[in-house]
Amino acid sequence: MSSYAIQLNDLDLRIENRLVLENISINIEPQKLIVVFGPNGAGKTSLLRVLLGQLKPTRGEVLIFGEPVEQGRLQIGYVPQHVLGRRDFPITVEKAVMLGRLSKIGLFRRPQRSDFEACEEALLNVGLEALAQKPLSDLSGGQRQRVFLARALAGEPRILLLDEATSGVDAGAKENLYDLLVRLKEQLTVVFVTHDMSVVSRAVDVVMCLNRTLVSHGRPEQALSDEALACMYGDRTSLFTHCNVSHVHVHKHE
Amino acid sequence: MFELLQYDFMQRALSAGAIVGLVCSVLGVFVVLRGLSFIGAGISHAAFAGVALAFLLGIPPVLGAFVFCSLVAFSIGYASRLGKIREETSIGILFAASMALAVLLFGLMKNPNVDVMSYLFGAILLISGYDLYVCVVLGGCVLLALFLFYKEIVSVVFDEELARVSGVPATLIVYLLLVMLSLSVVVSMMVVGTILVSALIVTPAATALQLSKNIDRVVGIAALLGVAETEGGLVLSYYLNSAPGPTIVLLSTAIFALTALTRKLA
Repeated sequence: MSSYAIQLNDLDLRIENRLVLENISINIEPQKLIVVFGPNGAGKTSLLRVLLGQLKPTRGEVLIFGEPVEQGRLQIGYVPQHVLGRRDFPITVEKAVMLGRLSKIGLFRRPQRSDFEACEEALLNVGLEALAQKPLSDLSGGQRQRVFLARALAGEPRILLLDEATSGVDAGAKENLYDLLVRLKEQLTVVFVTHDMSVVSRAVDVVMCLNRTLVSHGRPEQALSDEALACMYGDRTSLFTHCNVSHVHVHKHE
Repeated sequence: MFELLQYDFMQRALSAGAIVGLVCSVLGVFVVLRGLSFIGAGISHAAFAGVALAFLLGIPPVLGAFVFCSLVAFSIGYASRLGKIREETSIGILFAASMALAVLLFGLMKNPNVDVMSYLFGAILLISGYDLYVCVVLGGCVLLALFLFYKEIVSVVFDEELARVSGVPATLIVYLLLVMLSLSVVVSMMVVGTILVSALIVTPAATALQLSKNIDRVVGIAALLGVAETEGGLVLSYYLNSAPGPTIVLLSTAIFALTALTRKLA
């Protein structure tokens, strides 16, 4: 068994003849919080889709706990930016969370007591245990996002991928989510794709700066250099911290 | 009231109506939630072309309709998954092409002793023992598949991408839904005809969706409504001396409208 949760070796990804990811190599240790930054079109979501086995790399190797994606992907829980289904889909919170456990339950079988217990624990983790029997459509945007996080956790993954999971939620809900991610990294590897630089003031272990290639990676203070920010957002950007919260600052032309 | 049960043809009609009402309404919940209602309409028109082809080739109309419906359903599904042609565009093309093909094929028949109207608008009172048997077998297949793959179907209809990530064979489930839709159309064709069949699939489900926010209950309510509306429409048509298919569809529409109005006023 590999000592790394995720290994990307010389990864290239081409979509319709466009090079979306180029020469990405990184080893990610278990139980770390990894934040992936990058401008729009940098390939962040494509990278997650490669990890989920939805996109096949043109070149290179992806290993999940030492196994190819085809076998390893079921160890991954995923929280998307947007859920494509109808907002008014008639489903209770508990049932929506249970859908994250289908690979554990298996075909032709009904959920057992252990499945209900796993859902209960996942809801407890995100602080929504009291809303288990509520219709999902009655929940706020922030609560819905936490339900999808609980859904991902219900599958008892070893790796959790979150794609812009704070878009469309208010500041309070965002802070709660960040607190939760910091707690979750005690049990699993968390890969969090975001535009929000304020997250680096949290206990982030590794920052990956992506702009088609891996511009930089490492501890936040190393990876978020002026050069790396310039490679991602242009040469008039710098990072500044105010009240322990980091922001990217874009300098205007004089 | 019970005098109509004395007639064999009415007993068969009520039995077939109950099966069709149950199958269509339960499947309809997933069709509506997945946004496949328009595909349902497209497939049902393809059934008419399948019937025409079956008569020309001398094979059972049900088989012709099923094969043709499945072909059209798979073509629509495949084209939309490729992402090159929008779903409504391929439905629009195949919908009209199927009807055109049906008219052309019926025109080619040398001795057309086929009652075209019965396939267009249904002939539930003419259902034979064999037709009822076909209804039970095909309807049973749809209900069995729904029962066996219920949680996977809910997952895919809720969000296909998330379902795939959770290890559900999502593409297979989408095609299974299309096959079930084709089977339901074929079974319902005898009751309300190809023109009106999509109403049996969409309307009770749309009514049920207004009444609950819990998928299991929505399926239960849709099943009850589907059976009650089909049986109610049949009984009503007997006493009003009206065409059964359109009576069933209009009763179902009236219940939907009444529910929507009540919900709006509540």
